[in-house]
Amino acid sequence: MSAIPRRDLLRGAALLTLGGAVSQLTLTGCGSDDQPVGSSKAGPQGQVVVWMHEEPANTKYFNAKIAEYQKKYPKVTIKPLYVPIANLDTKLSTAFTTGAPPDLIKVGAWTLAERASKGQLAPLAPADFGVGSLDQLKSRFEANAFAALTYENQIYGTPIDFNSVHLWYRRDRFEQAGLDPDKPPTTWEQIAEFSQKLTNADASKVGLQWQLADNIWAMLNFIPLIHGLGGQIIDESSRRGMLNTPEGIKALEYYGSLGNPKLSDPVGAFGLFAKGTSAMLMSGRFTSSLIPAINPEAKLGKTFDSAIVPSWEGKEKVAAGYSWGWMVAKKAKNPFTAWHFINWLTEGDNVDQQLSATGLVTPTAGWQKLASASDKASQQLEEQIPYTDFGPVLPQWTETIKALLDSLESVIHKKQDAKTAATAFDDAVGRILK
Amino acid sequence: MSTVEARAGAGLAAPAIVYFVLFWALPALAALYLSFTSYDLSGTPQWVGLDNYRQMVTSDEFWSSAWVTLLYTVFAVGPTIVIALVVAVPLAKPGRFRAWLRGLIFIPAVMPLVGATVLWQVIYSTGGLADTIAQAAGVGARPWLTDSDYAIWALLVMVIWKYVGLYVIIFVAGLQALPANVFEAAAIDGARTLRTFFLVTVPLLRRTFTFVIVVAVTGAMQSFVPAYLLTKGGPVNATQVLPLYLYNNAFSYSRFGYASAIAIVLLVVLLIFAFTQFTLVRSDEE
Amino acid sequence: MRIGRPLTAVALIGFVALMLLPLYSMIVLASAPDDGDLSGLGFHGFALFDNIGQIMTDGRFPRYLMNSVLIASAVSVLDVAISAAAGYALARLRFPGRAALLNLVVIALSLTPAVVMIPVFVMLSEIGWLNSYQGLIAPFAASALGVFLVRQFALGIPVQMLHAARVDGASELRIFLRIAVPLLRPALLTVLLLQFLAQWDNLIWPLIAASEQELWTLPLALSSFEGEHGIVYHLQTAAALISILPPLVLFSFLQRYYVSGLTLGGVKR
Repeated sequence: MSAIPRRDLLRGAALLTLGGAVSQLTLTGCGSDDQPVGSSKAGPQGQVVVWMHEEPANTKYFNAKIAEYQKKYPKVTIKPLYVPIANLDTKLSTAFTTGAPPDLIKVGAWTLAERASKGQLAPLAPADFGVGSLDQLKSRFEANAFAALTYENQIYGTPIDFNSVHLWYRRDRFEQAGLDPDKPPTTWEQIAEFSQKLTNADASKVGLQWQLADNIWAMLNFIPLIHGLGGQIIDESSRRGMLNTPEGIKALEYYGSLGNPKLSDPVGAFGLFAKGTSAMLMSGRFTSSLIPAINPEAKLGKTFDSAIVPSWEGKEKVAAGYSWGWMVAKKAKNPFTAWHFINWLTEGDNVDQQLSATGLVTPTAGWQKLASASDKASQQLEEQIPYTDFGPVLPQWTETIKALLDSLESVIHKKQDAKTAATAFDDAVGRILK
Repeated sequence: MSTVEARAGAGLAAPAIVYFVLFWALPALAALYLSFTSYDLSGTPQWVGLDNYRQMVTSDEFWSSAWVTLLYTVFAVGPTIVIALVVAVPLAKPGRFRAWLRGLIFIPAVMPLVGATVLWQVIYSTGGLADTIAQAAGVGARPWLTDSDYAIWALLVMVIWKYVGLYVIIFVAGLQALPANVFEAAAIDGARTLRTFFLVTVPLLRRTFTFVIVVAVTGAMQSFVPAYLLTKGGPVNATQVLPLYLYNNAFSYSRFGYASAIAIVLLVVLLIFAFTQFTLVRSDEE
Repeated sequence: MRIGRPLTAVALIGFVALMLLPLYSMIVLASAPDDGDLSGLGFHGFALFDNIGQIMTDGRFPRYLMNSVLIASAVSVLDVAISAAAGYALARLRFPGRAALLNLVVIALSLTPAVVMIPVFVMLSEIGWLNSYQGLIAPFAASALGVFLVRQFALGIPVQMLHAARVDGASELRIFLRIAVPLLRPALLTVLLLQFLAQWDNLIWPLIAASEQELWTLPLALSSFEGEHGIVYHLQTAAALISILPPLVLFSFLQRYYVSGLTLGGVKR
């Protein structure tokens, strides 16, 4: 607290309350805890606090795995906290404020850069994984698996819930529209053409419907369009928005020409697709079980099906993907044990068990050969991995992608033309990343 | 000021004073200080002078949010108070049947917002209850939550539904606190109802009114959870009220300094409003 | 009991019906065996009790429910005590610090809670009150709303009545407890109810101030039905339906005392 000069009374009074944050930081920095902690010599031991979002199937699986791990390593206590997904980031941000975060967190990789840039995360250390170098660790996973988990050449997490977005379509709607359900569209041009045929007069039924009103999905839906044209959302080296370019504007116009943004379903685009209101959806592997959960009458392979991401005619395919990551706080009291546990979750047939119990993919090398990955969607995910893009890695990701969402929404809701919306985005990025 | 009275007053007020200083005055000072800094909830705040305020007045999003907030406040507070008062007068008198009706009106108010918004998302979805009612009324189905012209009104309907019961209860309490003979006149039924209402009931309830207006307006201008849960501020930011913009800046974008600046502006506006209300009714208070 | 003119009665019942319409929708949703049809107009299957059973046996939900009852009760009782004293003092006693208190109340009404949260969070972390019931209760132990409401009602207490009591030799504390509190009963019950509901609906503070699931409250339980790709509607609405009951019971119970507050207000001169 004394490190900050007190300029005036107000500032002093404010620091009275705020000062707590600072002194807390110095306190926890001393590591006054006398709890046992793990190391490569002593082996895993002590307590690991882990926070992740609540998801019933995962909670059940994870609790069972904790019990199994603790049985095997009796000196370890894993203490999980399952936070409602909508509140996870707020919970974490405040916890990091006092310098008393959990040891281990599972969060969307898109938030990694923000936390890493604030010095909240510890970069991976080979020793914690019992390997000589990080390359050795990386070779245990899919080639692209760490792309979303790297910030300024440092790796801060290991992948979980790894997804590449591809095309889902309704076989029944295709048949009704006279389209061959065994020949899904392969280009964006075809998607537009099919969408037209699948849309009725008042647009109460549509072809492709985007996932609207959501940051991460806005990005996932848009990346294949703009990157597929050779453009990009942001130039990361010059930190400039790139929508006001021929590629950006074409992608925006295309985005705005499909679907009906006025359709509304409690479960959003997933619900519209599950009910057949929309006939096509860009989504991940999880869709195969999600859709029947929303509408038990929708059957995979019969009512709906999946295909590889489309490309622009004559252009390379680009898919968009996302990953979640396990990350360890820089102030974690027990990083070795935390990573030991995460490592153990990828050993033996744990990856297979996790996939069948929770639908979450941990992209270890060869995961696609596991029994639970024999489904079509898993194979499509695997096929897409080499050309999957995970979007910009930015400390200001949330604010930047919210600006993208604003522009996409104003185009599809016909509030702005593509050019105006593109300029608005580029201006916003200029402000955010300045 | 007698010493006995002064001592009693200070004694009775002391716990409240301690509470407000600790939990409100100090944070208010912290917010004021932070509004002149860049603070990302980690590390120490960096002094940036008036930058946050400058950014605010030049931001389109700030002004559009301010406009949405004004709309939201006027159309949440006005209808809620009018409906609550009109309903409270006949319901204020004792009686089992009235007690039942009060209880029923109160149900939405006791439902946690998280539950209520999920319910209204279903009601407002395509082909949901709202569409069915609109069709029956000859209006036809509407994109309640997905059209930027409708979403704010859809939000307001939910908010009024949710909170009108609270204000009914406050007015009922106000009516019941009146001396019995006055209360009889205030809540009288019959041919002179309307006249009585404006000439007797409303003036008698003026202190309750001051309270209700100040609390409703300050509450509405700080409320972000309904918009956050129902529409996330969309579509195209049509329901992004200022407190939601503030919350997003504070916790999603890690711009706590900027968020504090917005809070200070809101604070000043609301202080002016509240003190004006107090001054207007001061004459009958001392 | 007859309720005035038929027109009033019809209008009132119509209004109540309109208020209850969404609740019908809610019961339909909460009774569904799955999330297949969400239009919420007609029952398809009736699994309400299965759903409730599933929620109550989940293990965490009853705990969250109990925490909410506990915290909301403690907060509302504390708030009534502190607000009653301060509100009465503000309205009917002259003492040093009176203007300051009124200013504090207005500031507290006008300051957005989102920016208050972080300093209070840091403060409680300093004194080690995070992850404790007192950390969930103390920040709401009084309220501007409570002080303000009691003050407005206390302004209606005739000054002569207090003077008479003073002349009779009653102490200020006795006057407050024996004369003011009974007269203020409708206001106090209203504060109790409003604070109980505010806590019943408090999502963010328990979320950030407690990192033990044993301390979490109802709104967090309701939020937990939302997953990465949507909400389990039939269970979430069933849980919301359960969560209506405790405050509704409290309300029905308090209603009786509202009435006696009225009688008292009339009897005393």
